[in-house]
Amino acid sequence: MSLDAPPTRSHGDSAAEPPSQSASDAVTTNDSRPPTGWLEAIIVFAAMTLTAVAVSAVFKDFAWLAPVLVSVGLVVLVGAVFRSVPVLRSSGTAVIAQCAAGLVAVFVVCAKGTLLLGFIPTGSSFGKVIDQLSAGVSDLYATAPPAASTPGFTAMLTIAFTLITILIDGLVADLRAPKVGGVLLLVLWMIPVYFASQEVRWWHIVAILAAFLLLMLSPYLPATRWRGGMTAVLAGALALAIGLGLPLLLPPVPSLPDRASKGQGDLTVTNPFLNLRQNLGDRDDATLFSYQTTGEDSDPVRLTSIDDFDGENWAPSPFSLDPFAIATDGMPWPEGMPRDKNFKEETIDVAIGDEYDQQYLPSPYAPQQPEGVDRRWIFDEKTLTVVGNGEKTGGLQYSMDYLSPNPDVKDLQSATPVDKKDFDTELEVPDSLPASVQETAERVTADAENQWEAAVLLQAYFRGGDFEYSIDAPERASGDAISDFLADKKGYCVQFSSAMTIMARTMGIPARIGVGFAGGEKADGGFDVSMQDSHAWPELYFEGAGWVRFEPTPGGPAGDPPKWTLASGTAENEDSDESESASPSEEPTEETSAAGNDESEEAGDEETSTQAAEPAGANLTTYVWVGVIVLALLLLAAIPAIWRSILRSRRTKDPHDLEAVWTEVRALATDYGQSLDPSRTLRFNELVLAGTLPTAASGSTGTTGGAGTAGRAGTAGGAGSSTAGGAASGGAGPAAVEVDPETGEPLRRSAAEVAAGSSGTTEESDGRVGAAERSDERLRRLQRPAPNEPDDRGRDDSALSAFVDALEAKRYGAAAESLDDSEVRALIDEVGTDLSERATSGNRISAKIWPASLFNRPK
Amino acid sequence: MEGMSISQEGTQTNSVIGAEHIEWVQHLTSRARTAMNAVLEGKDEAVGLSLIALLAGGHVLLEDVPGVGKTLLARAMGKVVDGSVRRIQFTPDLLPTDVVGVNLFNQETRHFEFRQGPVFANIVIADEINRASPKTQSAMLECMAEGQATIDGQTYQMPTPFIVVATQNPIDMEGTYALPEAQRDRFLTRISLGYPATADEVDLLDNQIQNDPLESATAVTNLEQITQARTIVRHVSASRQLREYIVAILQATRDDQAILLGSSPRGGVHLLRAAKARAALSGRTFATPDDVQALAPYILAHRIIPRDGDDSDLAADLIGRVLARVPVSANQ
Repeated sequence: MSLDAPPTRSHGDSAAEPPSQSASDAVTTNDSRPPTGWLEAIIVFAAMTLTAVAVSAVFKDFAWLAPVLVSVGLVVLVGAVFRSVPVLRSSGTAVIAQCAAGLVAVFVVCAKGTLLLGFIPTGSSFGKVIDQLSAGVSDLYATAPPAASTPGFTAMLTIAFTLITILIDGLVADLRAPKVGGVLLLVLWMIPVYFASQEVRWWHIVAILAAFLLLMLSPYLPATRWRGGMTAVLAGALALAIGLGLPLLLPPVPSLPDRASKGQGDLTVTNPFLNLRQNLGDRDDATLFSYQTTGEDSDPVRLTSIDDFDGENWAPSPFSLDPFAIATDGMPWPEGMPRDKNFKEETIDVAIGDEYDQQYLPSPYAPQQPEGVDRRWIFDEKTLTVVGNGEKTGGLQYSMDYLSPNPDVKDLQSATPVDKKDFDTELEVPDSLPASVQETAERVTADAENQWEAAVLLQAYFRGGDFEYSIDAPERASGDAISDFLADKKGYCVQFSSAMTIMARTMGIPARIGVGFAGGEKADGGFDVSMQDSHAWPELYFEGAGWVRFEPTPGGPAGDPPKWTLASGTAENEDSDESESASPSEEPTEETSAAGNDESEEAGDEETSTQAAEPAGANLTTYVWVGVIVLALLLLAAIPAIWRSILRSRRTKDPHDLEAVWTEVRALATDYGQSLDPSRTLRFNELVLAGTLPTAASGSTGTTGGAGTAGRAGTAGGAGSSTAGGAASGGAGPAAVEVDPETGEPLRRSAAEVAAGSSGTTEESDGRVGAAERSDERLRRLQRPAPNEPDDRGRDDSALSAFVDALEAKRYGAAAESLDDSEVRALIDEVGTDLSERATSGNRISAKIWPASLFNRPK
Repeated sequence: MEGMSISQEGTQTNSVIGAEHIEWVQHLTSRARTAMNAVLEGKDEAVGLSLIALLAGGHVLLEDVPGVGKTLLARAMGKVVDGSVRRIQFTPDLLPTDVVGVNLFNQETRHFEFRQGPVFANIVIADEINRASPKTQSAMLECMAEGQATIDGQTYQMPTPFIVVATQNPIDMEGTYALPEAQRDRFLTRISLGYPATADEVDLLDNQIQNDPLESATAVTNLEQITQARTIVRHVSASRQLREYIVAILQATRDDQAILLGSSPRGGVHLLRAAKARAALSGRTFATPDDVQALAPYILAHRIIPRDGDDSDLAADLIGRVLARVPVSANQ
């Protein structure tokens, strides 16, 4: 056919705008809110202030607060100015200006003296800032919470707050993504949670909670869209519950040793790892430290005790370090030691040289309370080892009260075997240990009537003359170092003490190795200790006496065996000078090579991980389980939501597939409990989705009975249901045509206008129709059998309308319509928001966590 | 409208019409409608429907109580489109030849000559068609369906456009014969006018006493434009999805337990044609389910026979129920 000439358009008829254009309009109009930059600035500032209140948990005082708040305020102010003043706003440089302002603020706070004119940074300013920061880092180690606000801390917090304020302000004001900003707030919240969880009180939590919610709500504060805000509040509360609840649920113990061990990571000089295969090299005789003691000179000065043996190496079994187990506050009573006897109270004064810089505080066993050391010296209650939490011994002068074990032989003889459960590690024998070792032990101790006698016999076995002291490790003859030593009968204290310890263990006596220094060289009233004095010795545990030292090493720095280790029961108190004279130096420890050091660090790390759960025992296990279960439940609960979002992205990933997008829209409606009637047309459903449907008409949507059809016939008759007052509108179907006085009115007007010679006036009259009447009008027009104007008149410029236009044209007009990604996003957002605003709160929640469309899938 | 011309051979369905054609039709209809509304107070919907029938090339059955303006509507339409208008008052004794025409023997030429009956006009007003005997009513069948009449083996074409506007009093009134089912099916739509709204009725009393409302009606278009508009409407596109929807509706009327006799396939044809016309009125180049749904009660109701008595309200109700049951699209 030929439609040879297009009809001329003599009047300015309404040419419907292309749908795509109105769609993009919708996107922009939705986003272009009035410049409420100031409100957002206030919100951000308030949120940051609340966060600062939360962070104040870490500090004793509030001196740090003023610089932080001033910096934050400055940044926010600059942002607000740049976002509200039109000229600056169009420049889009708000964030850059904020960065500059933040920089100035940081310099003013951190490097005041170096600035030109009080605010222009000079070359030295940068160095000053770096200095302040590193001061802050060292303060971090030096202080226990609650901390004083040192310049270093103030600098760190000012920088952190300023940076995060810039980010959050940008997110809230420019990107309209306050939720991400909320996450950044939680980053700051990690400061008190991580460093001072004990100091966190409820108001800190309330403060951070309020800050978080404030940010979440910020998009809703300007408008009155509180219902959408409720969703944000819910989401925020849920996120916070997870973020706050889990750390609180898990006791602080696991996290703290982590930090302590970090401080311990650079454990350097005295390596508590002993290797049985290593030869003893030459060792320095420079004085490491000097001491004077009220006790017996022969008591070795111990660093720590180690009990974990793998057949070749000794290592400390992992122990947790509680930074609040502060040594100067006093340490617990030594394990197993009776409180009324078998010990002597002594005091040692120690002066450590600057070079001897390591983390174990030397003291004879069993240390009770040091004096003159920092509160960062903390103890392990099992071994009574005192270690520095970031502190080292270099240059330290202190005195230490200690309890020197002085067991009565009778008590030792009557000691009953221990309950093996209590001494897992101290009784553990490596799997690789040859049976010959135990056989030897049994042979040697065949005559023993009790454990003490067995121990005494073991010591006598080593000291009996068969064994020879040598600074060389035994030949590697078999796979096992102990049996090699027993065969070779040559070695130094590490081999002797290891062999005795392990043999004692095979007989059920808990045993470990003490590591430290033996005696030392006598010098003006005290003793000087050098590397040559380093020593290791077995400590055996007897019920009723506690840990008791033995001395199987027949030479080297080792002194005479303690009196209670001699069969006679009478201590031969030998001259301790002997130990000084002992030229061959044996000791194990220090020398360990670089490899050994690495090892120690690794072991240190391991320590923390394996150790973490132990101290809290059953209690902690319960917490962990509760935490795991809660997490699992949360994950389970999140599955529908995750599945739902997968479905959504699958449906919306191809913006050309309009039907798939429509499926997603319908699924959204189902989620919010407003399923679309499949017998309704796209445009009708558009009205349903936009929520502009008059109640009477929407009432008939779902019903299928007679009433519903009457409603449908009634509306089909062209009578606006909301004006049912019109005469005879009860007559359904064709009978109802033209009974609505509303219908007549615009017609009469247009007739009059035609008579007056004007045309196209219907548009004008339509333009006068108020927004409130529009939806009603649209439905009426939609269902009029013979509409007298284009049916897209009066539709809002919503993404939904544009989409319906496109889909309709594609379905019925064979047009190659498609959307772009942003239009699809705008559509889903718009529909979701509209639905959510109208849904009941129950529907709103279930739409998020239990989307109905998963179970009632749109086909 | 002078620029608008559509050649008569333009009947292939594959040609494409543009928005400008649709606008032209809209404009044309809107003027006709305005003119007719000036005659009939407050009957916009009925006027619109009769214009849809005009554009779709269908016949209109006006059914209502006497005196609400049925005849006036038909005459107004005739006047507005500037076509020949004939009126046939159906009475029980009206014969088929009174309608169609008769061959008379011309004494002078000694030949039979066909004398056209009143049905040969662009607009035929069949007043009170249900008062005529079934025999006479059926004489209308061929004219309405085929657009032609056959008398004594001779076939005579009806003029174009040809539209029958039949009025009918409700069948339970005295002296009426129910319109045969086959004949009812030939009407595109059945319209009830209903009583006017109060305000309109007051105006009507004033206006009609002062002067004849038809006096004010002027021809705002002509037959050729109507023919062109019809061609355009015929080319409004109807996708397969839409046609499937219509068929689904038809089948649903046949399966419905409450319906004794469902819609004929011709009902579907008429529904689609009307939907196209409505699409044009709405400014679209394609018909949508909105068109179908809005029109279905007017197009299908008189073609079905409800089980519970032949009542037009009930029939429209049943169509509404069917619409509520049929999914519009596979993706719904």
